Amino acid sequence: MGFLTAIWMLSLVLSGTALTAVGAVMVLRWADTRRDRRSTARRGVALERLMAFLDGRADGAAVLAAAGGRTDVAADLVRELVGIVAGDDRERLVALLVVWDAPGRLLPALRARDRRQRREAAAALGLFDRDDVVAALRRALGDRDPEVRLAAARSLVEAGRPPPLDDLARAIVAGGGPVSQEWRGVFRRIAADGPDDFSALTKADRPRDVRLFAIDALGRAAADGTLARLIDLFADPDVEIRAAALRALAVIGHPAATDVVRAGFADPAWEVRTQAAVTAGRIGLPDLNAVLEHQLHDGVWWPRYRAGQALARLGDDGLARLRALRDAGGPASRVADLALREAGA
Amino acid sequence: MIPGLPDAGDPQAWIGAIAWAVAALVIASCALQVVLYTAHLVIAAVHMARRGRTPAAARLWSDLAEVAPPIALLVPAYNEEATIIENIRSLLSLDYPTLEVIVVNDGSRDATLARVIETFGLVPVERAFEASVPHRPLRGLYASRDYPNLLMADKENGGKSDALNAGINLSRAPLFCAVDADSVLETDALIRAVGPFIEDPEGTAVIGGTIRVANGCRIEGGRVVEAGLPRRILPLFQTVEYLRAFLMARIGWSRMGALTIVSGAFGIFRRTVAVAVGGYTQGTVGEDIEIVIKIHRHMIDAQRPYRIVFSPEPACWTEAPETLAVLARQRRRWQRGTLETFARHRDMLFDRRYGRIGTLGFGSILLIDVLGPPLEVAGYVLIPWFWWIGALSLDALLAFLGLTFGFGVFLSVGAVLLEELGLRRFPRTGDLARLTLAAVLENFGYRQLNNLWRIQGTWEYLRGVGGWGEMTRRGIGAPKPGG
Repeated sequence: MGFLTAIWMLSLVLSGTALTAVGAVMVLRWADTRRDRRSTARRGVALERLMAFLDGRADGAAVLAAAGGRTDVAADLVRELVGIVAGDDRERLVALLVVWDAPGRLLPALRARDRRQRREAAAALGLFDRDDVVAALRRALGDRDPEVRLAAARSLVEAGRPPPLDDLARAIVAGGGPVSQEWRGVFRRIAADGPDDFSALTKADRPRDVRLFAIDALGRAAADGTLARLIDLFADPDVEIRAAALRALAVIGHPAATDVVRAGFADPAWEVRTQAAVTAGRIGLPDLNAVLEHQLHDGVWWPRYRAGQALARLGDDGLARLRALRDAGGPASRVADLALREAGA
Repeated sequence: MIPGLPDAGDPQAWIGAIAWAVAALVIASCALQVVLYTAHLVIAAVHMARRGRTPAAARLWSDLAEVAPPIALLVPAYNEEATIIENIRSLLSLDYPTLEVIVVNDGSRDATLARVIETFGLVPVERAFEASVPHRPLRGLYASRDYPNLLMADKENGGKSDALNAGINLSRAPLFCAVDADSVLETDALIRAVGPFIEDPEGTAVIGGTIRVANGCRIEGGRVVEAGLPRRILPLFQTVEYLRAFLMARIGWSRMGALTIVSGAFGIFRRTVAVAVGGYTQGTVGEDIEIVIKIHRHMIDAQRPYRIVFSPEPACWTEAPETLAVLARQRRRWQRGTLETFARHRDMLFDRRYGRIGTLGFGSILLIDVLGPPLEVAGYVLIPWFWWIGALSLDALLAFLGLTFGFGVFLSVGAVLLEELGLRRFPRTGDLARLTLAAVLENFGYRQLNNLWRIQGTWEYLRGVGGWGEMTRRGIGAPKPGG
């Protein structure tokens, strides 16, 4: 074959391949559309039966029959519905999934080679508070894929069987790489369900991300000793940890934090000084009004601005100080003026 | 006489030698582009195949809402009275946990400001902010208790970059999203786009989303309720172009770690990073590519780990020009913007300190945007000329042209396939056929016109022509004349 013939062949192969592929995809789309139309119709009927099931007018077999006898299709539909119902209805739907052996199909998928299958299985298994499911999800906390680990942790929390915090901490940092902020939500849910001891995870020998999530959770758990631990953490050399401790103290809102917040205003890091001003305003610490007033002269804009905002929230004394600063002129005057205007004062 | 060169007294031989040298350059450049585009197509196909099913928005919301960082939507508006109200309503209704819409009226000469104030019942307010990045003076800020997450800023005219800088200063969220006032974000676009900022909060600097052509879509209440293809051929060609640019090239560059542009119509930035580079550069028409390059330079110079990524799922719909004159202005402007940035940061080209950005990113700008248009046009002129003077047989001429068009069709259809297999936004099977037809036809005339406009853009750049030119828009979702 000559050079020019080869070029022609290549052109034809490229164009032909592209157009053949489009043809094939169009046939696929056509078939999909027909299948979708059928499954949408079937799904509509199954959904009606499912509603009837919840009202006690139909049984699980009727739902399954409407789904064409396909337990996987029916189970998908039930799983969608489970997310928007609660109480007895939710229990009954989960029981239906157990009858159709949904956990039995999902558990092997947790060991699939395809990580998408493992993720979907880990996310779906949270509905089943069963020992075998919990054991499998705990094993999945060691999965090599971070999203599978996260989905497993979420499911364990959803099932009301949160894993030991140490296991959670290991799952977060396993494999290295960036740590998703979604773990913060898992910690918060655990904290909301009960005052677990997150203090151990805030120790200096723990990974930084784990410490930050644990401090955030401590603010929401309000367990015994939380306040003392957060106050201790303020001595940490890490700027982020000190700021996080102040943020958690703001959530707790206990006036015992006054001394720590006062120390926060003298912190060398502007992020910590900013958070100290926010915390003072949120807890409502009028003892710190003089310090806040001084903070309006901070060299960095954010601590200055947050101090102005905090003073505006701290009643007549705070407002009076802002007015005095506004009228005195100087660098703090503009911030004081804006804080007053923003507060509508 | 230098060996290998024609005789100095033989001008005919010199012309021939120069022509062959240019032809060799054209062929080498084309070959490099073929390698690059093929790599993009393969990388994008692998990425789309691996990423799995698009998660439902409700699922994303339940997983991310609690930890999704607040976002400020910055909407620069200049003479947008036809579309601004609908667009603000659309932005206010986006599904995102903590969102503030900051509309910056850039000294419009029409009733943009008055219409917004009247429609949303805004009153003058004050907001404390730090002048972190430069912009023209603000004339007033307006807000309303009824719309607590809407802020309207009125400022002296200073251009899009200037308006965006004002928005950056006014925003208090850790992230900001720059959107065009004439574009429509999908309701779940932000929650879909924000993922990388949650997964890698310290490393992620910028995220870009897909821009899609809204002409032909059914838009109600500022939302795309049904995707469709444009009826007119010009926006239809642009639909294929956008698919190629976003689903192929941007995915490819993003996966290669060398993304040099995030569309000005839809990009999410970490505010601190944007402030660190001085915000948007004033007086440029390519502010989107410019800020991304500045961020690359800043982060590499500071030796900070970072990533700038593209995400194909979140989408923003924009109105594509429907006339040749408007399209030509837009393309000339894009070319000028790219060349401005290339010239401003030319020291990054092939500088090993800048790694993939210096070699792949800037190398591709040199190849595709700087040298590409003149070389392709040179190819169109030289190859027939070689045939005319007998240096190239008719068979060879046709074979080269066949290859050029065959590869063009292959790439464009490949982008259409990526859309179909990965996202499937167009609901009808017939849409695929129309897209494929457009993907074939655009190689015959439209592509060459584009090159011509880019050459004109280059010429304008060399002459120092500035400004945006007038963009005539009908308004997204506006009723058709007589309709």
